[in-house]
Amino acid sequence: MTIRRNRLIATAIAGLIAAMPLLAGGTVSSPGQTSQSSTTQRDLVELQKKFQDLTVAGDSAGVSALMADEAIFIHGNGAAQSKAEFLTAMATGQLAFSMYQLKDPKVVIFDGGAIVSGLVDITFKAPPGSQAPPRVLHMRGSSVWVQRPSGWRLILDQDTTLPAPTPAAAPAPTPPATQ
Amino acid sequence: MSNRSRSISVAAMMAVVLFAAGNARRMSAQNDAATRPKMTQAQMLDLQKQFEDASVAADAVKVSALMSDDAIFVHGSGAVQTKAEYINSLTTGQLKVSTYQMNDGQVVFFDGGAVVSGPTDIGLVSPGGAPPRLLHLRVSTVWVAKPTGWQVILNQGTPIAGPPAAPAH
Repeated sequence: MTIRRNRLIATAIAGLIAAMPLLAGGTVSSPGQTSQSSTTQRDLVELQKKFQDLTVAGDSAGVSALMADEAIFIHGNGAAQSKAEFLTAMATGQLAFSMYQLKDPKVVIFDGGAIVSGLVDITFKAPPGSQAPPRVLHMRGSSVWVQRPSGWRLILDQDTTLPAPTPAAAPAPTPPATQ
Repeated sequence: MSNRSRSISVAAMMAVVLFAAGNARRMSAQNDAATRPKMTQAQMLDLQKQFEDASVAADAVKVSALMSDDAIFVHGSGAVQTKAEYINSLTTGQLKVSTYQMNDGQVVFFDGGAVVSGPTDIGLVSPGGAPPRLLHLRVSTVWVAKPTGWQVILNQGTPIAGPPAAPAH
């Protein structure tokens, strides 16, 4: 009788322990969703890579799903585009990348979002029939991601073109910290 | 009362207590979000101006208060500075800003912060009394709401290609 009673109590306690995270106010994420507390720097770098790969693939639907409706995209020449303008430029071929890579990424996570920043190399696709070499840009890019109930969304992407590298033979001057 | 009934009663009571605790925690989190200072677009633009003015004045205390410790500052040259490096360059005179003015700033709010972005005129004092170097950049500043107030976590400038637009008459 005592054994049976103890077994019942143990079962009840085990059930409660199993349900504790839910009862104590935790949330259960659906597959593909990440709560901010569980999103790592690596997750954010992967998210950034996904955005870049979709842009290179010209996948407007995929890119759209990763951008907030009010997103701002600032190109290396200072031109600003809304989400709709960025997607249109992709869809019409006005903006066609053959390469979009982030090197040496740095991630800063803040309450509600994160910044993924680093060196960005972009190569534009040459126009059909063109013999000119593809245009390559080296930039410093920052992407700001915000956490929404439906997932992480890009709200700002800004690139700043880096000065052309100095010839290897010449001594490299200390870059001035200028605006 | 049978042992089984007693176990179920104990389990039920524990469940109620845990559920209440969970709800309290959830409400506390909601209250934290609710107590974040609500800002209008005009207030965000004013905050942006405070940061710009403090940079021109090389007011290290004010600039420091307005920047998050993990802030990233990307200059129009692509050079990157931390908060400490930015403030140090202001206080040592390595970076002397004579003009820092955003025009036609656009504000985009998100939960817990805002992006302030727009064409910005920046004047840099040149050494030797030469005229200041004028830059026309598109600057975006990302502000986050912290318990101690709103702070810059990212400031990035990108030179705008071509001549600046003529002022409207």
